[in-house]
Order: sequence, then structure tokens, then C-alpha cells
Amino acid sequence: MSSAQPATIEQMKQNPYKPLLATIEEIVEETWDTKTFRAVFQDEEMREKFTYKPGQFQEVSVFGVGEATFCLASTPTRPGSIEFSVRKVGSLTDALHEMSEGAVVGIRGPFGNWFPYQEWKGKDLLFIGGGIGMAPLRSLLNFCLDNRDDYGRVDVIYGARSSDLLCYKTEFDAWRNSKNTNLFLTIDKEEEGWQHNVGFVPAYLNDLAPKPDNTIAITCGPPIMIKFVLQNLATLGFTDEQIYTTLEMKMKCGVGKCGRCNIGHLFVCVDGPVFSYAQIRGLPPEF
Amino acid sequence: MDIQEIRNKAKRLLESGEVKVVVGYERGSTESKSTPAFIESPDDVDRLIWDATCVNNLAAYAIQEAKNGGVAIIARDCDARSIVMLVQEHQLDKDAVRVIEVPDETQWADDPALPESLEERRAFWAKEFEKCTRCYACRQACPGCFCNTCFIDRIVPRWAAKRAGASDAWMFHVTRAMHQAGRCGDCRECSRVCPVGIPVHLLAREIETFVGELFDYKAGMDMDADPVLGTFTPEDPDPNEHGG
Amino acid sequence: MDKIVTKDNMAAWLRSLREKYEMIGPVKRPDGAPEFRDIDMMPPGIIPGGIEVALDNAAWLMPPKDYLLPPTETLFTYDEKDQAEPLKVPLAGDKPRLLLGLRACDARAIRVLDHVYLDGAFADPYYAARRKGMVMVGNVCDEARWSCFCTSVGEPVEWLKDLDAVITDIGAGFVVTANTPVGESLLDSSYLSDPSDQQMNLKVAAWDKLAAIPKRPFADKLAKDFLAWDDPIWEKYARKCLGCGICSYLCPSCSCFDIQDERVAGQIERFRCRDTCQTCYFTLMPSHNPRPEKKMRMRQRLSHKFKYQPEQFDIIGCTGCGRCVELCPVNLDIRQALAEVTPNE
Ligand SMILES: Cc1cc2nc3c(=O)[nH]c(=O)nc-3n(C[C@H](O)[C@H](O)[C@H](O)COP(=O)(O)OP(=O)(O)OC[C@H]3O[C@@H](n4cnc5c(N)ncnc54)[C@H](O)[C@@H]3O)c2cc1C
Ligand code: SF4
Ligand code: SF4
Ligand code: SF4
Ligand code: SF4
Ligand code: SF4
Ligand code: FES
Repeated sequence: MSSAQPATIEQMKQNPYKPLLATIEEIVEETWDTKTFRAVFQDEEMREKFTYKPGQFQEVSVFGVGEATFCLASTPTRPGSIEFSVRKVGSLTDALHEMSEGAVVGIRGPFGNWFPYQEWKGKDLLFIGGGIGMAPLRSLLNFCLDNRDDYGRVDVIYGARSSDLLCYKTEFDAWRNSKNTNLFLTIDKEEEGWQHNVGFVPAYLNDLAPKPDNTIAITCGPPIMIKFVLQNLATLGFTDEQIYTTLEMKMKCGVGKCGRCNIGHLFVCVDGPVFSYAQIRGLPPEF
Repeated sequence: MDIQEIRNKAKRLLESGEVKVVVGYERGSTESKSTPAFIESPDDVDRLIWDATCVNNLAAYAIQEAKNGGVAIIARDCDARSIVMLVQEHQLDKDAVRVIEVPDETQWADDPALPESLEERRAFWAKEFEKCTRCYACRQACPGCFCNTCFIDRIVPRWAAKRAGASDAWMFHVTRAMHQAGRCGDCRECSRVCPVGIPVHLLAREIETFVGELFDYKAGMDMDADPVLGTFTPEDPDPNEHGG
Repeated sequence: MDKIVTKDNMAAWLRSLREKYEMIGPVKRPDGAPEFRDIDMMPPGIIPGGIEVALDNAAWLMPPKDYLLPPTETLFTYDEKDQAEPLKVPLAGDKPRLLLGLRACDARAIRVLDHVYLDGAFADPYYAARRKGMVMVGNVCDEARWSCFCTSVGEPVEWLKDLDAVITDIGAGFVVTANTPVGESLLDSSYLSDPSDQQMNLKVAAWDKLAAIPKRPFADKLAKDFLAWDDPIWEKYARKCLGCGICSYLCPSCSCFDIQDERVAGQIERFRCRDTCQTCYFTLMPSHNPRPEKKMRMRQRLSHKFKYQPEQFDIIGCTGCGRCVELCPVNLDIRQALAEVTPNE
């Protein structure tokens, strides 16, 4: 991290609790309970200068309600705005879902670590996502596709309970049409008109049986899916060092102060949210 | 009361299998303190003590311990009322709990005198609540506060912010006192545990006095009676007519 | 640098310091109980001459962290109607603060808080602002309380060196030792004079007495990995825990907080307030709770202080002040738990 710090970090360093104001420009209804928000900073300079890395997260404020943690689902290769996808589960996510285009939110970030994509240059990438867990993967995927020549083959396995629970549908074609990139979709149960795989993500992974050679697997989704994906990856010959995921703990400050998100001596907001499976194995089982 | 008598009772209850655990007091980490003891074997009853250091209302453990089978609790009169209240409130199975009664020999601290006028009383409480750290220790120690999620911890809707100082503390304390109507046996645990010395129990006591006057009811006296605020009869007085 | 101040001159000296500093210290309340508070705030007449400072170690109840991390603190206000600058961050007062009456363990606690709030990629600006201008004056404990165990978790005499100045009661007067240039500036006063050799010997004896507080048996076990994850003692001790959080609210080195929004007088205020890992809500998420049981929260508290913080900052997070020991309403004494816990294999 020797390179010059971007302006956002400078601003956040002065006061990491003070949000940057942003306007919601676009809201996409992904599923019945998930919306993707595109936000533009009010400060024009910040629009260009706000940089981040795939895997990082932000704290989003609805003033008067509070804050919640969302990963940055957009890619820094497409500056000007940021995107985050929100599943409606409680007070703040409800308030966000109530908002219309033009509403003002606060953004604190970017916080946390990121996928070590620099180290992955020249490797094949295997994305395995489930439901809303696709959000952090989408950031990395679009980043890699925008730097397509840096990476080898890209395979994306993406599943949800049913087809209407798949997010980012409008981008599927762009992913498919990228060079040397394959999208494998799956849903839990048969549906009329569904032309892709039917079955759970871990099982589909076994069917596809990707080769571990020179490959990095990145997975994110419901805990139960991750559990079986990890098992199956191991059977396929992936080592713990070849597998990456993101962890979720309750967060408030995002900067390692409020003491809420620790797993052992690591803080997910600072030392995570991205962890290799090798690192996760070394953590106390409390997440 | 003779400690041997308590130990014998505990022993009998454990030996007969009537209860799985006896909750009592044992010597704490210094002479001036006792600490709650969970006695599960008849061989361990000699750990039990009974002296002036035994001040906790052990009814606070009744629900937790009854989950693992029968529990016997060493209880003063006020503590026993908590247990009765928990049975009345359907928090505790009557058959799962035994009370080992001990006389109330507690050296109760003097209560601060509450001013007569409403104005002065408001000022009194405002000053006390100013100190409140909002740790909720008073609630945690209170056997009547058995809710899975206390109103004050709810985030939808949120009743008051978790701010130290008087204004939000009013909301918490006054509501909590209301919730103790017909539940408070005057064990004064809330005041005892409060780290900043707020006489919280006076609020619940005020409510209990009111409940007594209105409904001729005293909390935790009869296991088979319905909780006073859990029932309605056409004869019930209208508090508004009583200047409430 | 050491100076001596007579008992008669002590109050006058402190009063002179008050001209330059906002002074916070242990004072005797009207009911005789000591309290750690803003000395200026005491109503005149209650404290003779404005100051009756309690320099014995009785004034220990409220931890000095209240003055670095107020129980409730506004982070900013948000005014929807102010289009140009809706967000405003409150500014800290400009008169420098002097904390008086800190014990060795209090000094240590501030060192722990410094690590949490100032280390890492982001420093906490609110804490930093208060900390920066703060002068710390402490005193050497005359007697250990029954609950104290500072010597079991470190070297209190060394901790005293984090203070700008240290006051040692030697009976006939106080020896005041300056550790920093700021401390030396405090000693630059006509109320103080040079101590005699005999007075210095008495000071050394008082410091030696502090160092000689007997260690607890667990003191030798305090390696970074001495707390076992699956130890049955977590369950055993957690059984009597009420989850009241007093042990962290009043712990001088506990630093956790919650952040909430509230509408106050037409404005939105975001504030932080104290929080504790001893409640089930601390880690509760819509999806799951990683610490649903009391024993897990008890393990977190002790592990955080005796294992995680040593790993993170190379410092034991507990100072042995004994507040949690003395104030726990069920006498859950962490020293007993520490003595019983087995090493992590
Ligand atoms: C690194 C990271 C990345 C994330 N990325 C995303 C993402 O991209 N998209 C996404 O949708 N989500 C994401 N999340 C999850 C998201 O942060 C949460 O869903 C969100 O914070 C919920 O906020 P809320 O205010 O709507 O819910 P809240 O209202 O805060 O919480 C609702 C739940 O809180 C519990 N609760 C009840 N009372 C209390 C109380 N007193 N104190 C505390 N909790 C209580 C209940 O279980 C309730 O169901 C991420 C989380 C992390 C840590
Ligand atoms: S204050 Fe009321 S809601 Fe909260 S625990 Fe007590 S009785 Fe329940
Ligand atoms: S009254 Fe006392 S115990 Fe209750 S929340 Fe306030 S400070 Fe805590
Ligand atoms: S003070 Fe005692 S009872 Fe309260 S949470 Fe801490 S250990 Fe538990
Ligand atoms: S854990 Fe207890 S003894 Fe240690 S510093 Fe905190 S209050 Fe003091
Ligand atoms: S012991 Fe708990 S409340 Fe205290 S600093 Fe550690 S995590 Fe926070
Ligand atoms: S979110 Fe506050 S420490 Fe991680």
C-alpha cells in the first residue's frame, strides 16, 4: 500500500465517521427483496476521485435511521458513480428500499481489504456465487473483464433458489460475450422456460468439475452454500490457498474501533472482509 | 436461620431427585461477598452459606435453571414473591421449582426521601437519571424483566436512543417501572446492582403502591392468581378516575 | 525531576493549575463518597475552597475514560434544511484538560485506549483531539484494594511513567515527579520546593511498596495463548453472569461503542454511546448471531483482554484495576476464572 493515497482515503482519514453525501441516481429492482442503488457523490471532484478495490465495503447512511454495511458492487474501472445491492432485512435496509431516485444518502468508505487480484494476473478465475452473495463477486468480475488480458479463463457459476431471485440479469449477456468467459446459471427447482441447469450450486460445481491448475476460486453466498462449496472444491483438488471468500460480522464503525466485528484478534472491517480459506481455517470458529 | 437446616433441605431435594440443582449462596472471592452457587450434587451442599453477605435475588436464575430440570432456590420473602410471580406469568412451571425459604435479615439501606411535590420529584428523578449510564444492569438483575427482547432493545420501532443522561433515560425507567406493575416484590436488586447508585426500586415501588390501592393486589403472593394486569373484569376501576 | 509540596500548599498549587487547565479529578461528594469529575463543575460551597481532592485510591469508581470517551458523544449533526453544509462536526473545547488523581492502572488503561483509538489506518479524530491536549497527573496508591491485581498483569511502577507528573504522599507532604516537559512546567511554581534526600527515600519506598503488591498465581500463565477455546470454565462462570455489562461499562480500558441516529430539535444527530460485548445484541445480525450464548460472550471478554489485544497490540488489555471484580453484582471474579482456565494446546 505504498502508492499515493486516493483523495477519499485522505478525507476518511481526517474523520472516518463523517459520511460523504451522495445522491441516488438509479434504482434497479433485482428481485422482490433486493434493489441495486447507483449513487453519485454531490462533490463533483469526489465523483472522479473516489477509488476503491473489488472486495471493499462502505457504510451507507440514511440520516435519521442509521447506517448499514454493503459491499461495493460496482467496479473502480467504471468511475463516476458507485453501486451497491441491498437486501431488505431490517430498519436501514427498509428505509433504503423506501427511497426514490434523487434521495440523499451518506457514504463512508471504502473500508476493509480487497481481493488480491494483482497476485492473480495470468491465472484462471472461478467465481461461485449464490443469491445476493454475487454482489462482491460482481465487482471483481467486472473489474477483471475490464482488464480482460490480465487473466486467463473466467468461469462464473451463479445460482439462486429460483430464476426471479437471480440478480444482475441485465449483465449476463455482457459476461457471456466476454472473451474466454463462461456463465453457468443454476436454480434449485425446475421452472417452465428455464434453459439452464437445475440443482444446488455445490452439486453443479461438481458436475462442471473445474480443474484446479493455476486457478483461483472465489465464492460468496449463503453460509450453507459456502460450506458445501468449500468441501467440493477440496475434493476437486483446490488447496486452501486457492480459495477466497468474504466474511460477514455485525459492523458499526468500519474502521476497527467499535470492537464489534472481531473474530479472534482480527477485525473483519480492517483485516477482512476478504479471507483465503487457509486464513479462515486459522480463525476461532465464531463467525 | 441455621445454615445446617438449609444444607439439609438442599441435600434432601437433590438426593430425592426432586430437583437437579439448588441455587444458593457460597463464599465469594472475599470475606465481605457471597456469590451465587449452583449445587448439583448432595456432596456439595456444604458449600452453601447464609449470612449478611447473601443479598442477591436468586430468582433471576429461575428460568435459566428450570430449563435443565427441577430447581430449588434459596429465597427471602421478596425473592420468593419473584418466583411466584414468574409462575403466575407462565415463565416458570410450578412443578419445576422449589423454594427454600430463608428469613429476610438483609441490612436494607435507607431509602432516600422522595420530595412531596410533583415538581420537586421530577427534579429529583431528572438529577438521578442524569447519572444513568444506560448499562441496563437494573433490568438484567430484575426477575420481572424476563422479556426475550426488552422494548428498549427493539430497533423497529425504537422507543428511545441509547443515550446516557436524563432525557432518554426517562423513557427507559418510566416504561420499565410500568412493566413491573404487579410483578415487583420489592427485592431492590435494581438499586443494589446500579453502578451509579440510582434508587431505581422506588419507581417500581410507587407503581406497586398504586396497583395495591386500585386493585387490592400485591405482586407474587398467590401462584394460582392471574397476574393483575393480565386480566380484565367489568368491575376494574378506571385509573383515570383516580387521578392517575 | 522531583519537587515537594506541603499538605497546606497542595490546594493552592492545584488551584493555580486550574487557571490554565480545565481540571478533572477525584473529589469528595457532599455525602463523602468520592467521585471523578470536573472540579470546576462542583457547586461552590460544597467543596471548601472549591477543591477537596481525594488523593487516596478510593476515588476509583468512575474510570477516567469518561473524559476521553464520553458515555455519549455527538459525531455530527445533519440539518436537512441547510442545503450548503448539512453535516456539521462538533468542535472540541480549546482550554487544555488536566486529569488529576490517575492511578498507575488508569495510566495503563489510557495506553490501551490509545492503541485502540489511535493505531491502525484510521485514527479516531474525536478521541485524538481530547487526548492531544490532555495532561495526565497521577498518584501512587497507598494501599491496594482487595480487588486490585495490577502487579499480576504488568508493572504498575513502569505504567506511572506514562503520566506527565506523579504525586507521592510521603506523610508530611507530597513528592511530585515530572516525567515529561509538560509535567515539568506544572512543577514550575512557588508552592513547590526541592525535596530532601530523606523525602526522596520515602518516595522510593512508596513506589517499591506499589511494586511489591503480591502477584496472583495466574500471573505466570499470561502467555498469549493461555486461554483455551473449549474450556468448561466459560460455562461454569457464565452461568451466574447476569449479562449486565457493568464489567465493561466501568472497565477503564473497555472501548466498545454503538452508533445511533436520533432526531433532536428538528435536527438529526448521530452519536456514539458505550456498548458491551456482554449483550446478545452486540453481534446479532439479521442472518445469524455468532455469539448467542453467555459463555461465548464471557470467553470474548476475557480473550479480548488477555489474548486478542496482546496479539493485536502486544499489550494486555486488562490493567488489574479491580473495578469489574468489585462491582460485579454476582461477584464473578475474573481472577478466579483466570486461575482456573487451562492453557490452549
Ligand atoms: C462486509 C459486509 C458486507 C455486506 N454486504 C451486503 C450487501 O452487499 N448487500 C446486503 O444486502 N447486505 C450486505 N451486508 C449485510 C448488511 O450489512 C445487513 O443486512 C444490514 O446491516 C442490515 O441492516 P438493517 O438496519 O436493515 O437491519 P437491522 O434493523 O439493523 O437488523 C435487523 C435484525 O437485527 C436484529 N436486531 C433486533 N434488535 C436488535 C438490537 N437491539 N441490536 C442489534 N440487532 C438487533 C434482528 O435480528 C433483526 O432481524 C453486508 C455485511 C457486511 C458485514
Ligand atoms: S423493561 Fe419491560 S420490556 Fe424491558 S425487560 Fe423489563 S418488563 Fe420487559
Ligand atoms: S439505573 Fe443504573 S443500572 Fe439501570 S441502566 Fe441506569 S446506570 Fe444502569
Ligand atoms: S458485571 Fe458480572 S454479572 Fe454483569 S456482565 Fe459482568 S460478569 Fe456478568
Ligand atoms: S477487566 Fe476488570 S480489572 Fe481489568 S481493567 Fe477492566 S475493570 Fe479493571
Ligand atoms: S471486553 Fe468486550 S466490551 Fe470490553 S473492550 Fe473487549 S470486546 Fe469491548
Ligand atoms: S465495525 Fe467497528 S470494529 Fe469492525
